[in-house]
Parts: sequence; C-alpha cells; structure tokens
Amino acid sequence: MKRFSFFAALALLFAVSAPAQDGPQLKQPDEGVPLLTGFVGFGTTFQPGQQQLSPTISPIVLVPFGDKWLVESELEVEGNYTHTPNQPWDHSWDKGFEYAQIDYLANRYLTVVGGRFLTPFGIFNERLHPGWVRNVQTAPYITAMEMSDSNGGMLRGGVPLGRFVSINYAGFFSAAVNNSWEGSTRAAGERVGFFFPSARLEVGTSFQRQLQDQHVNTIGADAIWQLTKVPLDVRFEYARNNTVGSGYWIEGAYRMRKAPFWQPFMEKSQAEVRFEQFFMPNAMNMVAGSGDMELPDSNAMRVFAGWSYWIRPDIRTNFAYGREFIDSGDHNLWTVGLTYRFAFPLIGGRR
Amino acid sequence: MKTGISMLLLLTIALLFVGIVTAQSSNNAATPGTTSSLTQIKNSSTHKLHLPPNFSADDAYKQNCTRCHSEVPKLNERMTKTILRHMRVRANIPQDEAKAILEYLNQ
Repeated sequence: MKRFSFFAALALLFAVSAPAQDGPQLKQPDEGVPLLTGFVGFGTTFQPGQQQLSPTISPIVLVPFGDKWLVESELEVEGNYTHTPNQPWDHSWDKGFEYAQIDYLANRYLTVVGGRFLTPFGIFNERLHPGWVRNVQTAPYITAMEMSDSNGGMLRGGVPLGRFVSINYAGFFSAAVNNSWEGSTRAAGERVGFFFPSARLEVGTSFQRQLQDQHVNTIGADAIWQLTKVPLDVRFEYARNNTVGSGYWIEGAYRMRKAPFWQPFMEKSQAEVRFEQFFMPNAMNMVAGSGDMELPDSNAMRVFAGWSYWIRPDIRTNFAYGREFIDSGDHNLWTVGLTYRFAFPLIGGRR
Repeated sequence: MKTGISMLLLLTIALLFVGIVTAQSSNNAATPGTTSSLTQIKNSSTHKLHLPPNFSADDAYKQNCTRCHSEVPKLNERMTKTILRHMRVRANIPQDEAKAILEYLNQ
C-alpha cells in the first residue's frame, strides 16, 4: 500500500507541476458530441462433443463535457448457448458493467479516473478485450487470472520524452464490491509501459496486490512490436500468481494488403497465429477459491491459426482453427465470429 | 518471489521518476515557438502543440492507434473528437498527440 501511495504521489506531483507549452498550432473541430457506440458480435465455438454460440452486445455511452471531462460507460451482455450430444441446449446470459467511470483530464500527462473501470493489468484487458479489436475470439488462458474490473480510483497518463521513448502509466486502488453487476475485489496495482517509437516497440510491466482474503500478488509483463519492414504485429503477455498459476500468450498478426494476388480480398484481410501456455501453481501454494476463474484444471497449451476479413471498416469476420493440449484430452477448436462496431451521436452531431 | 516483485516495483518507479524529471527538464528547456514540423497541420491555428521535431500527424496516428486497431472506421469530426477523448484515457495518449491524431483522422 505504501508503494502505491508513493506512485500516486509522484503522479500527482507531476500533474500539478507540468508547465504550459508552446509549439506548432493546429485547428480543432467543434466540441465533441455525446455518443452511443460499442459493438454487436456473434461467435461460435466447436469442439468435439460441444458446440457453443455466443451472441454479445456491448453498448458504450460517451458523454464529454467541457474541455476536461468525460463520462463513459459500457454494459456487456453476453449469451452462452451450449449444446452437447443427446442433451437440450443449455443457455445463460452474463450481464455487467465493464466500466462506468468519470474521467478528468487534469493536464497533458495526467488523467484522474473515478468509478468502475477496467483494471490496468497487461494489454489484453484494457486494450484488446472488445470483440471487434481482438484477433482471436477466444480469450487467452491467463486473462482469467487477471482481475478484469475495479471500483475505485485511478491515475493514468502518457509522457513523451522526445523521439526516443514515451512512458505510459496507470496506478489504481479498488474497493471490494459484492454485486453481480459490478463486483470487484479490494486491491491496488499499477502498469507502466515504455514505448520506443523508432522501433515501434512497447514493453510494459504490471503489478497488483489483492487486499482481501489471502493477500496475494500478481505480476505481469507485456509487449507490442510493430515491425517496420513487414506489416506484422507481435503481441505478448505474461502473468504469474503464486496461488492460481502462471502463463503467457504470444500472437502474430500479418496484414495481407501487400499480397500480390487476389488484391480486393487480400487488402481487407489479416492472418493471425497465437500460441499460449498455462502452468498450474506449485501444489503447496494452491488455494481454494480459484475454481471460479475458468482456468484449466491442469497444465495446458493451445495454438490458434486464424484469418480476419473486414467486409467494411466497421464489420469484421474472423475464423480460427486451434488445438488444445491438456490432461483431460487433446482436442481441436474451431471458432467463427462476426462483429459490427457501431457509433451514433446521441444529441446532434450529424454534420 | 518477494524479491522479484520488489525489484519490478523499484525498476518501474525509478524509470517513471527518471522519465518525469527528464520530461520536466526538456519542457523547461523548450523555446517558445520552436520548430516542430507537424508538416500537415502546422499552418492551422488555435491550439499549440508540444511534440518532438519532425513529428507528423501521421506518426501520431501510426504510433498510437495501429498498435491495437487494424482498421479505424471513419466518423464525422465531432464524433471523432469524443472517441479521441475516450481513447486518450484508455490508451494513455498525451494531449498533444491526441490533437495531432484528431487532425489526421479529420483530414
């Protein structure tokens, strides 16, 4: 906790002391308009003996006011329709607020956030979890061991240091909330990322400490590398928690727009590969209570190869074939997904 | 494990501190109206930017948006401005880079 306070104090100190800047000038459009955005998606997963359909709708409301404030909220409603041989369809709907937060843009380098927010740990939860952004519809194993939502406060921002490196940071405190729509754990943590523009490489480290029940730590590391010579993005994330396990995923996405054949199709396509592993914790450290995290029951490994095609910039289809290697039996996985990302002004703003 | 965590925390805090100090020094050293060549937008007016020399709006877009998004749907100016404010928070984009991205997306 003392470490978190120190981190917060540093960020606040920086916030109040950042001076006004001069430089080149640019024209800004009229004020932003309140928006209803988000996505609608439909995914299917097939594996031996089981078929799963997952319709999802995630409306997001963004309401800017003044020059420095933004109220934003995302509700996620996800259905799970599962069919196994000789059984009727089983279905359930998960509903909850992904975030409902108020943001104050204190200055160039600091934003103060209060409310319910996505926990800043690694890169998947905050940046890649929406269905229309992620490359492979199935979430990596380790995302289940990272806390996805927090209720409390957060300080965050980005600081460019010339052309060499840019730092981005987030530090948060979350209170315990026992509510099916907006539950959270009492915890504190941070993520710091270093972006090297010339290499188009970002590396980050994350830490969070659970401050209720068993006080346990989760540590993480992540990286995003966009190669400059070829249109290839590489993403990586690692997480470790002594009581629930550890693991990593690494993913490559190759944009096909330079392919010399089938140009109309290829320029809207992307090929993707993901490899991931999960390792069970040492038996002495295992605790009851990690069973609801949707983690594998044993060491596991999974590989996916997929393809995305954008029918329009806001409509994405994707398909992936995967194979999972796990003690309960190796098996194939097929996923097919379609997402539509929408955005409408709530009041005016049509022009 | 504990030592590892402490080292990780110390490293991130130390790097953050170094970053802040360096940023402050570089800010203080900046001369008003220095020559940054935001080539596509430097002739427009109203807001002043603090960006590295030879930094273009295209750079701002590529360095921030394409790290996560393969495609960015086109929206009108006022809607884009709201989305940019949301992304500035979500992706920790500094204010001046967000303004350059806005200009790029509205071209």
